Amino acid sequence: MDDIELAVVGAGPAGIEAATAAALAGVNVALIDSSPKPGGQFFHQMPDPFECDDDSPHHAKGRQLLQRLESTGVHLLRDTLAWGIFEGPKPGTWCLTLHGPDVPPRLNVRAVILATGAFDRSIPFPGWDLPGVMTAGAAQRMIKNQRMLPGKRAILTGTGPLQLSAAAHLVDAGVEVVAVCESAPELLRRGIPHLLALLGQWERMREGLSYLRTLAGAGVPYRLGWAVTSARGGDRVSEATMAKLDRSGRPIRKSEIAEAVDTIVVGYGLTPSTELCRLLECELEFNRPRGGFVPRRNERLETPVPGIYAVGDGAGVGGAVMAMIEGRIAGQSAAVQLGRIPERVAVEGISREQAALRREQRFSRMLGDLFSPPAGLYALATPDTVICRCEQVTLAQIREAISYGAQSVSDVKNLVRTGMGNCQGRTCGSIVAHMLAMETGRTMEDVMYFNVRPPVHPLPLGVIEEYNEAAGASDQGRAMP
Amino acid sequence: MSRDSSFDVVVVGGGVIGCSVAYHLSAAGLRTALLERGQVGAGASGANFGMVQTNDVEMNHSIPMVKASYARFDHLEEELGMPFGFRRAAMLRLLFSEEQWKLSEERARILSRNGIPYEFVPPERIREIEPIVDPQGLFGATYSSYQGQLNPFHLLWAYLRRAISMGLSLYTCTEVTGFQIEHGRMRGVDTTRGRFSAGAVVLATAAWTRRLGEMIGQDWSIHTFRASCMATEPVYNTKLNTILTSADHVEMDVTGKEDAELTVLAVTQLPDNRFLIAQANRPGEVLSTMISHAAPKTMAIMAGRYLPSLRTARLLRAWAAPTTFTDDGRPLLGPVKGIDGLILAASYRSGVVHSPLAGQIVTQLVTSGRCDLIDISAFAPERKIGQAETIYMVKSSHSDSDGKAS
Repeated sequence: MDDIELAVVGAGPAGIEAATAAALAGVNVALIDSSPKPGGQFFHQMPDPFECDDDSPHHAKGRQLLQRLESTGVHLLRDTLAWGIFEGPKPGTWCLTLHGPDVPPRLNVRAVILATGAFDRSIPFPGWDLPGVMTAGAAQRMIKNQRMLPGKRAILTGTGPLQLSAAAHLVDAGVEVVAVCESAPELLRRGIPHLLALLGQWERMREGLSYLRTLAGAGVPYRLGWAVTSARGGDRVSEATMAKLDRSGRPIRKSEIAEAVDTIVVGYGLTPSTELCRLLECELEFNRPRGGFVPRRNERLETPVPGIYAVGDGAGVGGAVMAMIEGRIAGQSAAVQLGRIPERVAVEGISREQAALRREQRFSRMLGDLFSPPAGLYALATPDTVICRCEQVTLAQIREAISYGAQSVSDVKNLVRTGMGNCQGRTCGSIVAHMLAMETGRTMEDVMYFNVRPPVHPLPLGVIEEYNEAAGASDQGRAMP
Repeated sequence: MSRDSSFDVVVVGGGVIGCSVAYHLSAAGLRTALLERGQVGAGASGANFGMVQTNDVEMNHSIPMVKASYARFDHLEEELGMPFGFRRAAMLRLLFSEEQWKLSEERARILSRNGIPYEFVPPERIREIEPIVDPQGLFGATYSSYQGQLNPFHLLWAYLRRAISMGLSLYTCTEVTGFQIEHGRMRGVDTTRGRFSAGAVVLATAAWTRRLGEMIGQDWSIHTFRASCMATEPVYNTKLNTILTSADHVEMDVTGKEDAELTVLAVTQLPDNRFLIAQANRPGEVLSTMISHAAPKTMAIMAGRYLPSLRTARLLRAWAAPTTFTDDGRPLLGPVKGIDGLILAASYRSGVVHSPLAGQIVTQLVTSGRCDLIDISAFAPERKIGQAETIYMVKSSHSDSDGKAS
């Protein structure tokens, strides 16, 4: 492991392609992923006890990518969390700190490709913290991965094609789906200017249509311009209220309908996972269609931090096809940077991928434009709605911080602890930013994003210490008397 | 965005000193602007341990200042109208050898004589004070009761909130790019958001002071080093009574033998049972807020050594900030010679404890041109800065400095 030159963090479509491309060019690569098996969310592999034959074209494609990855000799570090990234011990190197079985606690490399993916975005409404309210990703995981039903009677609220897929999976699994609320207003009219972007996207359209067919077959209403506006219940959610939204995304109260449900699935799109980028103080820019704050990158997908590349949904949500193209560009670019292939040899392949990337960007821009949650949804929360769930901070407390003069999300954090808990603001960060922007008339660029600190997930102190239980000691620095 | 605004005073630096200065100036009825290059508390103040410490003081000139400032904490929450969690706390510093006690002996004598309790505790009495510390192998400890602990973010905002309610204009993301000086008189500053005119400018800019001085040909010898801190989740099976520090330290290379983290333990348990652990020193001039790869590990080693039960507690965050020191251990506080209207309040050894008095002193200097609260002549920015005459030395004896991260 001592001669690893490049670390790729995240073994989803982007990371697999990046690691493969770099390894094919002769780079010594480590591919790090926190799951037991590579594939990411898109090519997700079952845990062994649930393994079964799946001959869908989707899985065939995934298997093919993984086989190719294995044949390249990439060091795959499974079950491994990259909990921090630091300036390395030599100039121009980076130190990744790792936690996992049989992996070194630190990995010093000359280049890093961050392919960390994205996570579900929630928008709070009264009752959103009740048991039984979950993200679309969580519901899919329960069904596909754990073979468990999240509930018996569900309603979905959110936006975008991932909702349709979650709804279809729920129906297939035998859950009674009361309605799918799609918050985007006037989808069809707004879609017309984007029709050109659909050219050549037959496979995706077929996939979308098959989900719609499943829902239609089960008699599930697809409500355009609607959202779940509140939930009630005791130990678990028992009732959801949905309402039609006005143009700004605020609910029209007289349209409200209550439904008895035990499950609410929330999926307002995805937020890029930029934690490792932010540890490096890499400059981020706000890009609404790409899911929020994303790292700045050049044509080779290198960030302003030299030697650090960012690809896939973690650098701006764009889906698996785009992620794979970006992975190949960054993998080859890193190989050039590390001196494994000359620029003149790489340039042709890279330009071809860049052209493909531009085509994909058209499509993803369309999705981003059509399915960005309208700002008015952030007005659903009431003063006693908990916004930061880790630290139990309510909207009223956030408003109090604003009344003190808070101008940025970090001001709110310092005053009322939003984002200081276990998740470091993954869930509430963009919510607090939207609320602060709305209530103070500022832009997202003004209110900014939370700082992130290592470890990016909580870890026992003994792990950070690199404490060796058998030896009863740390592999420590010099102790001074 | 461009701007041409006139104020009585422009304060540069949105840390705890700048916010206190802004509050005291606003309370005196002066039209004040506070400029901050990033966010409020973006430097050392926002990375703070929250220790209100009097024992880690430069002993020749700074004792009256630290005592007067500490005394104001008795009524400061009332005065500002916002609680910031101030409580009195004692500090227990573990000693491992007679040599370590010898190094502290003079400090103990001088501080006690000046009304800051600082006493030697033999090993058999350590358990009375801190039952979870195993006194085995300890030479003893020093015990200092005249300390405190508070929420540093809330202190910052208590100043700021009160100041804003009295008319302070706060400009964040506003970086000073130049000074307007006419015939030796301060006229204002240029910033990334335009010009701010004012007859008085206060620099409460800590680690960034030296860089600003270079713009106007001043050589202010303020050095920086990296202080680090980390926080655990709430821990209920371990109770700590004091702020626990240690005279021992561990050392770990960062980028080679010349560049090492020297970690002196400082641990405290907050009212919500989370533990804060500080600090790592990285000698050398740094302005980055990125923590080094060595710091979390060395802090965890030190914490695990004294409080083994913390090994199973989960760490939530580790962070760092550039902290300042001067070779003689004194701040640069007072009017700048040759530039009428320019005042410095920078490089306090511990910003939190000094913040109330700093605001008062600067306000006096602005309104009357002099300070009758304490004698500040030893802090004059133009003084020749030598090494401290006493045992107080920052660079050469890290193991002697009491834990701090302010």
